[in-house]
Amino acid sequence: MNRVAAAARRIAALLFRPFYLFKQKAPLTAYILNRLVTMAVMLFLLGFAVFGLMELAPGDIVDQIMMQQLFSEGDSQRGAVRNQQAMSMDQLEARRASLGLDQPFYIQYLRWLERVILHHDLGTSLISRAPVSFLIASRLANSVLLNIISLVLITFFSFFLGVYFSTKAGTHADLAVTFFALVLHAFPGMLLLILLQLFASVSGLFPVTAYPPFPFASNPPGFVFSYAHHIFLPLLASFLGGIGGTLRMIRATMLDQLGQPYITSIRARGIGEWRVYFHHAFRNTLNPYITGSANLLASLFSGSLILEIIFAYPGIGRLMYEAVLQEDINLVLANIMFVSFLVLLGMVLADILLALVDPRIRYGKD
Amino acid sequence: MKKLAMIVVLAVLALSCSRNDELSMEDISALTGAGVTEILAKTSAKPWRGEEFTPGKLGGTWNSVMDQDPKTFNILIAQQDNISAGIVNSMLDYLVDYDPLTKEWKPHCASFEIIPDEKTDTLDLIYTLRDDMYWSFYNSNRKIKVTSDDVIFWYNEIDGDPAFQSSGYYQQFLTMEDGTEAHIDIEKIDDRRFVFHFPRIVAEPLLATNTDIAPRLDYEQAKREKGVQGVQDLFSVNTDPKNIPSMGKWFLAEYTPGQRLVFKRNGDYWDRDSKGTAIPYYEEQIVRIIPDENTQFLLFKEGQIETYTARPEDLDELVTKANSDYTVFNNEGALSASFWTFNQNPANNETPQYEWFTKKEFRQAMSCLLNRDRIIYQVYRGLAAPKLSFFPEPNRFYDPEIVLQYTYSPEQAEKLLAGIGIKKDSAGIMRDSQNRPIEFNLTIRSESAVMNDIASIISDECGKLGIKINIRVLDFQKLVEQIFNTFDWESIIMGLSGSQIFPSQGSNVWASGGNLHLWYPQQKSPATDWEARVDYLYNEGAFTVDPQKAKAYWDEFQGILLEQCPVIYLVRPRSFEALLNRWNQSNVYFDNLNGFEITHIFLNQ
Repeated sequence: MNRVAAAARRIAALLFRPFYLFKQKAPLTAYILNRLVTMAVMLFLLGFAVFGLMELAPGDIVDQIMMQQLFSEGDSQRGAVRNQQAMSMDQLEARRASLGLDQPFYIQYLRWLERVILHHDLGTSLISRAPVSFLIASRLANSVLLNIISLVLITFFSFFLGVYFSTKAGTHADLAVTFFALVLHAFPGMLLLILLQLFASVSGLFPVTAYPPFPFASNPPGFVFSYAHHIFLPLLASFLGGIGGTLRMIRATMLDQLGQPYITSIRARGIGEWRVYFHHAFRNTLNPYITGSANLLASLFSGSLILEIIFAYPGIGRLMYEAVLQEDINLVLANIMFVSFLVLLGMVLADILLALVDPRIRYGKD
Repeated sequence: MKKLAMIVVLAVLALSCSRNDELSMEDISALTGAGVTEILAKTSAKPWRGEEFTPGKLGGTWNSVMDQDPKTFNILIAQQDNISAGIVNSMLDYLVDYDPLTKEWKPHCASFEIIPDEKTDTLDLIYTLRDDMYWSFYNSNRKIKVTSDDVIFWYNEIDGDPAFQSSGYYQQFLTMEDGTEAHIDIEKIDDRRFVFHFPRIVAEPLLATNTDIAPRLDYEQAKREKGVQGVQDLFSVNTDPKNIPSMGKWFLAEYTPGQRLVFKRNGDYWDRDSKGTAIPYYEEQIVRIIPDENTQFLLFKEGQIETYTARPEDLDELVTKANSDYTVFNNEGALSASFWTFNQNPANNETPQYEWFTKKEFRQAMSCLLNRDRIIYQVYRGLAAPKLSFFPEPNRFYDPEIVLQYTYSPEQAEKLLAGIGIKKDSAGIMRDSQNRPIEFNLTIRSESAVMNDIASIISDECGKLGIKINIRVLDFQKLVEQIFNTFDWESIIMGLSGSQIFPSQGSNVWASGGNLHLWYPQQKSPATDWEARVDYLYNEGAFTVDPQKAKAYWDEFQGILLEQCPVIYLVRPRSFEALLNRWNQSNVYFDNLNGFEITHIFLNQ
């Protein structure tokens, strides 16, 4: 028995030795490869869990189809009267089978994986039969555009104000800004959106929707101007809702760094305040920000559901919301896997960035 | 100064804490009654009674909203989605109209002739298509005549092919007297005429055959080349909508996902005014996709959309706005209504609720505890009417004498309950003969705030009599699961589509074997004598052509359902439509029979 165990250990050592040697030689690359493999496993498990959860949810898309034919609160008869019949139970079962929904969820999942990995096909929406890739692509650019503008504004202003007011700690201006940052951080985002929309309606200065009423292709320059006009208030809501937290974090971390002995030591050596702030203290401030921003990449591609509903913005949030309600699993899964992939990728990138900006973090022997 | 300010603040606080006397039901009724009169006075009542339309002028853009993206432009797939069906139907047309005023069928795209053969008990229905209908293409001179082949292809090759799982498939079959199923065949006579051969004489052959006319050319080619899959994949939302042929009022010229649809007027449409101008009059229709109703309301107030269906909470603001640039139209109560029903499925036969719910007297008592007037005043602010008849007015067999007898009367409810051994104890709690307290759940959909208020009123009224009702708010999907799979609900409030303009509509609800026979679906054989009788009457009525003979069946049919109370209808809310005044209103009508009639609307010049 011992001999068998020893042989197994030897084989394992033989198999893993190249990895071990590679890790010794290129620790950061090995770390990244390791994270990518972990990412693939996590994505697989996540997909499995999503399919399992959708299976647990009552009903499926075929039930949805039938219900839509049967139930309706309102009613009004126009000239044309037709004998609308609901689908029979046999038809429902046939429909379920044709969509593969009669199979256990793990079989459905494996089929989905086969289609995505082997045929590079995200499939079609179960309800509309439109390609999932088309449905997502038609809204992705809008979500990315909105989120990039919002992210850049929030990052720029929160960094600038956070650093600036950390140098003014304890002053009246600092107290006021900290107070407002706290209020903005705690203020419900949905309420802020509704208030801004009401402001737009009452004042007439801004549109109550966030997207121009005509497409880009019909008038590109006009569209750009109109987009800026339409997006201003939703962007302001997003900005006000996001700046409070980041500003407070940057300010607090800066204050923490400025109180460290190494800053005192640097100052004692006569190094200028500008260099103290930006070359030393600020660089270390980035550490918690980067750690906490692993999902920034994903957030660029995710929708902003509440904003999209209230301000009628054609982003991906609404698409996914409807897909979840209707249990359109192909559409839901494609989006969840995509966003999850971005979150995991963001975490890997954040770790690499940390290694680059923080001299204390190294993946090698030294 | 500070002391003065403090005194003022305290005084304000004290005053604000003073107790107002609660309003009695009479006070509420008086206030609501005045409010109703005021609201109705500020709105316009203009029902359509068959008036001729005045000729309009071409031009303008109609702006509207919808709250979701269309899922498809494929006619077959659109059967599954109401939003998509609305879009697709704007490019199609149908065979015949039913006039709810005269209660008669009339030609639309086709005239018709019904030829019953009493000897063989068969019936032929011959349709003759108009000669001026074409499949047209946006920005193209190409035109293809609409022929019998379009209808026959769809009937035989799409609806009639079980592989497509079309909802029209089962409409092609009739139950014969011996219980077997026989097919209604279609046959081409010539390019404009086709005939449906009914294997048995039916009362409403037009109802079973009135259908949209679908374009054969694209679907036939897709089926020939790629089979079922090819047909289902046709005209998805990623196709260029300009390629979709239209024989209806509109071409779909643009679809931008999440943003808007643009329709262009089809100048080839056959329906024309007295001057020969094709309707509609406006050249373009832009439909923006706006999911939130509040945003839709704001857009209407800004004049960016032409109409708005007012919610109860918007009504005051809409009608009291000074110098408004719109008109609000009102109509009578809806033809159909939501209802309250009780679970009589034997899957729950070990529960006390099953024992109570299966007793006619219990359901009648619940009907007597349903305070419709209170619902109308408190929930709908007086802007609704009770639903007491089974068939709506446009139904040929509507009879004002046949109405629900079990209207609000707690005294009668108490008597009915006493008749089945349910009485109040000394603590005022209703108990059955086994001393069990009468308590059950009332499930409502989470999406509806109005239903929540109605359920609270029902619970309160029953509570006064010592019956405890627990309101359960459920997600729609969960509710559906309970109704169709687990059957573990007790009582429920819901609404169904369709308003039974024809008595034979709703076979899946009223027939005992129907999959939507809510209280006990898909019975192998009728569970009760009265359900068996309803099945018999339904079947006889549907196959009796003579109105006098049929009336006897349908009268009894209504009477049984109103007596047995398997469902208890609630109220018929009024609805309100606001329309911008930039549109000429001479051709605008609004009623509960024809809805918002704006097919001939045109701009003021």
